[in-house]
Amino acid sequence: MFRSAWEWYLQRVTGGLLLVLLVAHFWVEHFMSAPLRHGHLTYQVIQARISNPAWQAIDIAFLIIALYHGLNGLRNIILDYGRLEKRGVAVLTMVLVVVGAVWAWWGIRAFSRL
Amino acid sequence: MFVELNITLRVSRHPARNGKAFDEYRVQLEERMSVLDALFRVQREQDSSLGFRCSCRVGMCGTCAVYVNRVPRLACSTLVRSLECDVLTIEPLPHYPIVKDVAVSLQPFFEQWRRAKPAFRPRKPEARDLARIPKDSKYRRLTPTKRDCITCGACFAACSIVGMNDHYLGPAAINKAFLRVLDPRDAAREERVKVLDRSLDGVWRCHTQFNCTAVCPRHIDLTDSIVRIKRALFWPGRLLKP
Repeated sequence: MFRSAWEWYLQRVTGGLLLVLLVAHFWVEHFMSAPLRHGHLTYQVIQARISNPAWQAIDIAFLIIALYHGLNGLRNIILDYGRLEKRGVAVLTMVLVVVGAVWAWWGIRAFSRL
Repeated sequence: MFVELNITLRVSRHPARNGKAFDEYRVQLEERMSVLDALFRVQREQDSSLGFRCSCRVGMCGTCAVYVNRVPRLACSTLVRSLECDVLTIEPLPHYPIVKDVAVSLQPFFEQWRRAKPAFRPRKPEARDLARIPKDSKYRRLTPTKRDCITCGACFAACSIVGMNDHYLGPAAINKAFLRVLDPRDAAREERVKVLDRSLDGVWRCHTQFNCTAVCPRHIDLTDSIVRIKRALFWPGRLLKP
C-alpha cells in the first residue's frame, strides 16, 4: 500500500472514531454519573474516574486520535493550496509529527500526576 | 411553429472596453438556438469584435466551452431556452488564461494532461495480433463510459481544488490515467501511479465534491474515476493487478 493511501484511510477511520468518542465524551462528562446529574460535581468524583486504567486508556486513545485527525487535516489544508515543494512538504510533515508527539506526551503525562 | 426568445446577453470583455468588463446585447433568437448561435448572432449583427472559440458545433470537439451563468458548458450544445432565463451571462472559463473576451487558452489543462502520461505504451510493441479483452474483465466493465472525454476543460474549470492549487492534475487527466492504469496492455502503469500518488498534486487532493461530474458535457463520472484510483492505491492488488 502507498503511504499517502494510509494517510487518507486513517483520516477517515479517525474521523469515524471521533464521531463516536465525542458523543461518548459529552455523555460521560454531563450525564453519566449521579453526582454529575444532580450538580454535586467534585474533584474527587473526576479523580476517581480518571484514575481507572480503562478510562485512562480511552482518554489517551481519544487524545491520539484527535491529534492525528486534526494535524493531518491541517497538513491536508496546507497541501491543498499547493504552495509547497517536495522539501517543504517533508519539513511540514516533520514539524506536525513533532507537535503531535509533544502534545500527546504532554497530555499523557498529566495522568501520572493523579 | 417557431417561438421567438428575446434575451439579454451579458458578455465578458477582455480586455475591458471603455472601462466596462461586460457588454450587454439584446438578441432575438428562435426556439432551438444554442448559446453559440446567440454569440454568432451578436458577432454578425451587433459587434464584430466579439471573440469566442468554436469548431465542430456539434459537441464533439470541446472547443466552445464557456462559463454560462456561472456554470461551465459547451456553448454549441446548450440551448438558450433550456436555461430558462432572460439574461444570459457568458464569461471565459475560470482557471485558464484569457486570450480574448470569452476565449481562453487550455494550456494549464494540457500541461496536467501531459503529466498524466496519456499516450498508450504497449507491453508488446512488436505484437501484430489484436489484443483480446475478456468481456468480464475490469477494464471492459469499468471503462466504456469513461472513454468519451473531448478535452473541453469544463471539469478543470469547475474544480475548486484547481482554483486553489495550480499543480493539481485535475479530473480529466486523472480519468485518462485511470483508463491507462486499468488497461492490461499498458506498460507504463508504475510511472502513472507514481504521478497519481503524489501528495502535493495527485488524486489525494480531490475533495470528492462532484463538481467535475456535474459539468462534464459527456456525462463521464470523473469523481468515480478519482475515487477508484484512491481505493486502488490503498489496495493495489484489487485494481492494479494486470
